Amino acid sequence: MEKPVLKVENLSRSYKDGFTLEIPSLEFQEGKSYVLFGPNGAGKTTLLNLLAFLDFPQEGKVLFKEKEIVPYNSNLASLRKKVTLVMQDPYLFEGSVIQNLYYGLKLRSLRFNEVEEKIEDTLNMLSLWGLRNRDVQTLSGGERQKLALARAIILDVEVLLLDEPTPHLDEICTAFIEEFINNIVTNRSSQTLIMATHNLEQAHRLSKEIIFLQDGRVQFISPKKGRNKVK
Amino acid sequence: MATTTSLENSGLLAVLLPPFEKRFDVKVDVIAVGTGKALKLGENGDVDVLFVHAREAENRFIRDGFGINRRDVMYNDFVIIGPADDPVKIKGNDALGAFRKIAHRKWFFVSRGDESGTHKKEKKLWELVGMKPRGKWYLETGQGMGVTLQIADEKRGYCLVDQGTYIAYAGKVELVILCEGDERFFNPYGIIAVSPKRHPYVNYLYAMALIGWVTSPEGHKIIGEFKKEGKVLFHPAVYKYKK
Amino acid sequence: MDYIFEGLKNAFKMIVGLDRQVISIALVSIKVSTLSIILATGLGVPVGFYVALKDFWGKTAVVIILNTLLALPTVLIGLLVYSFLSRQGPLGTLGLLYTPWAMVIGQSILAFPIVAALSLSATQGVDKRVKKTALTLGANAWQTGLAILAEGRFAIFAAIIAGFGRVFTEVGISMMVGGNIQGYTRNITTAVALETGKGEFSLGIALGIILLMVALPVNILFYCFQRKKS
Repeated sequence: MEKPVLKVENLSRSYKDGFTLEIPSLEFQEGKSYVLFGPNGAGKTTLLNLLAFLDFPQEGKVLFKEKEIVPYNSNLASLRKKVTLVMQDPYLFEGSVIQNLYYGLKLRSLRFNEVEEKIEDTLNMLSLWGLRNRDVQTLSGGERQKLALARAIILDVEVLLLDEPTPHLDEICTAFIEEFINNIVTNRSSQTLIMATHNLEQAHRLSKEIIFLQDGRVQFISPKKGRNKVK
Repeated sequence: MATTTSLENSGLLAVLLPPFEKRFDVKVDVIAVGTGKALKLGENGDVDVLFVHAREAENRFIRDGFGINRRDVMYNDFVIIGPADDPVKIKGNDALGAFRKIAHRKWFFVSRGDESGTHKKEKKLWELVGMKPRGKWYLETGQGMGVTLQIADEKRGYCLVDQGTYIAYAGKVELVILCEGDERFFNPYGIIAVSPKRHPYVNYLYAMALIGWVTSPEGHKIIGEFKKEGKVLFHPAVYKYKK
Repeated sequence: MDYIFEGLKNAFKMIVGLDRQVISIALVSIKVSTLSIILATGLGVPVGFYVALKDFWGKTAVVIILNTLLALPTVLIGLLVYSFLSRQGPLGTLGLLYTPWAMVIGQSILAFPIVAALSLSATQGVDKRVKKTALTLGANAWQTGLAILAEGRFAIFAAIIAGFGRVFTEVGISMMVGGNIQGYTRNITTAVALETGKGEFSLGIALGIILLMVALPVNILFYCFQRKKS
């Protein structure tokens, strides 16, 4: 029984500079992983922002579990607790690695000692344990990316969105993060994963379902599935 | 010439000095500070002549050899002013009684607190009453009569002030004269030349000329006729001398 | 030169010996200025923060007014407060003129635009990504606001310190609405301004030294916070 956890219907979002994202229909099934592939400026970030409820369509709808997401929904914060986005060039809060990791958990009213173990595990998973008390300003590019990732996955969200998870990173770091992502996909069967990349090889390494985006439109989806009709 | 701010503020010097300046072809630089500072200036030889009203301090000044040829010039009286409704009921001519009542009731009393002639007189009166005023009700401004009166007016408190200054400010404050006529309120002004023996470079000759001028019949005439708001501010010393 | 050395020597004696007058005067400065900066911060930081983030009708006017208030000379503020608090003024019945409260009111008015304007620029200087990052991690509007404030905290501390430095050293307001009353409204600046003129040279120097002893660390702190934010 497949249930779309996120759905897009007749979506249109345009910007002042003329760029428009138009998607008549798109579905993401619960527990599956997807890659948005396309060149820079194709609309991947725009789509991810819409799917994270950080942005809203001018026309059409974004639906989370069949419910439409509107800007004035008083529930927005709690909905956003279920879907999180790791941005391209993520921002790390001033402070230490641990403080950043704890931030999302603090928002969910979890006390530090309740989640201490979880924090330790996450740090280990991403080989960040030695850096736990370091000031984020001293981290390298790869370490920053891993921390941003850690900050998101520690939250056990229903949908995890990653915008360019390995930008400008060296091969070792890239390989580490890709392996890590594949592990999440394998181990967390209920979590939906949607990633964006402009690297075709990476796209293939990360997922079987690739959504090709260009000029604000879904060009095609591979492998082709009967349910996803694209114009 | 070093003088007190209250004398400068009264405006007397503006009419008393010009005829002298013209007659002797000399300019008088008036430095108006508190009496304490004025005496200090005399001690340092920074001025040639003092025109102040602090008898005991003046006597000491001369005794210590800083000044010579002191002359009485004029006098007026101090008064205690306060709010029109006189909450502590000091009306009358009993200076010490008034001070006692104010202290007892702890009503606002605003003092110069700056070692000026007025302040010295006030301190002497407290001494005679036998107390040292202290507390939230006793406000020492450390500033000139103008500011002190302003604060007294604001606080609806009592204040010791010389008649001349009060008349000059009467229009600006709502305080009225309540206690007057006590002989302890006597406020004599004296003029002293700074001793050339102590400070050889002082302008002694012209200082003596000025002393001669203010104590001359002409000088006395100007002083006696100097009025503000229709009232005479200072009484020349020669015509009515009180001990 | 002797005169100056003598003054310096006596000044040090006063400070080390905790001369009662010096302590009383310094305490007035500290109490009044601390209370003033607390009030100014309570209003200034939220105002600066809000104006930086929200677009509203009349926003440009508010920013212009804020910047104009920054340029107000202390004597003008003193005059304003005086006219309101004097017996003839609208708030005369409160009897606040020539009390430390009048000084606090005046100094708060002085510090407010400083804290507000610097908080405004501090907030604007916060990375634009903070909002989205907080939101996507699950923050509601209030929590997002706090996150932005927290990221700008160094610059905001700098704003508060700048405000404190300004009020601690001002003399116009203290003179006009305080009255330099000993043990009550005589603070460091009014004492230096008025007592020195009466020959209390050593006291003036002693107070000046204390002023520097406060102003210097304050400015060092300001510098540190400014550097931390970048």
